[in-house]
Amino acid sequence: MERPTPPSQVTGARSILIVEDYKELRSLIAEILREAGYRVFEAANGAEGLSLLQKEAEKLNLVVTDLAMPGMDGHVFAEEIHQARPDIGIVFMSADPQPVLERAGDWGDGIGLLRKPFTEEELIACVQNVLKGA
Amino acid sequence: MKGPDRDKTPKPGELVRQLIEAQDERYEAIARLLHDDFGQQLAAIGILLSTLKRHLPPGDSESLEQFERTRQKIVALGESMRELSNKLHSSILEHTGIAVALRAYCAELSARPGIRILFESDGEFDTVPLRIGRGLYRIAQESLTGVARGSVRISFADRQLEMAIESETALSISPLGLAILRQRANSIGAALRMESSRLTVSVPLKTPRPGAQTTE
Repeated sequence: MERPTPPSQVTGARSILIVEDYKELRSLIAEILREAGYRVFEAANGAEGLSLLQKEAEKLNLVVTDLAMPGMDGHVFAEEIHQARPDIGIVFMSADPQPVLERAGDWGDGIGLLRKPFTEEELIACVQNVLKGA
Repeated sequence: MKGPDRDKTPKPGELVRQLIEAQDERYEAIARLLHDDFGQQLAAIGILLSTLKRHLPPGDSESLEQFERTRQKIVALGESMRELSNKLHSSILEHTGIAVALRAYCAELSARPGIRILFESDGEFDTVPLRIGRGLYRIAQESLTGVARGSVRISFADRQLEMAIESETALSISPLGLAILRQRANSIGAALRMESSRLTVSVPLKTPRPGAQTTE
């Protein structure tokens, strides 16, 4: 069984910001996306994520974020991202998709949803789909 | 017991209110543990397992089948944890408000075999305080236990928020359960009326908003 084709070979290296407070999960996701050919930035919470978004605004193509995080809720974080960069895609990771589905319209197009627990194939497929649409 | 000490003893109604609040806090803590700790660990296990798939020998259908069965078990465990977490503490309520949370809850109940709970709303509920939404949601959860066919209606008009729960048969609420429901209603300033197959909760609120939406 092989990993999906590295996107860097077909689309060029794209940059992704991962925002996830659970370090082990964040590292796993980052590793998979790096191996898949993406440039990856990591943040442990919404505030760190927004700070990185401001610093690397030109480079970032996509944000992959947890929905429930301490400090800044994923919905609030998404609204901040949408205001700062309305063109950027957002992938929400959540064990409970209903709150995302109810409010997805608030953030326009370019929204993806990864229901936890997900596989590396689902992660890469979702990232690729949102990047195509964003 | 005399004077001051006697004054410190909570009245029965107050004691029930405190017990309900303590119980809700405990439920919320367990729900957060399920979501923030167990759920995250399960998500990590799910990804780690999926990376193993690449190392399976090509053509090893037996290992692939075992992998898929294990993956499905992890997904099912995640779903059970989500259901339990939402039963204890609704994240939808926190993020989207009482009407959407009740609609989602009715849909979740209706997804079970033999159960059909209709939902209807009339009004806009953006201004309903979370504390009141939580109280109404708990009353709905507790009174819908055992209902196979029924409905939940919520309306907000003329500064009055009203929730009506109906069952095609009598609601199966014990005297103790009803006392707890009344106390929950009291704690959010609501009046609760109970008939055999219908329960109504009315809360006076300050800011009404016109509008309407109806869903099942």
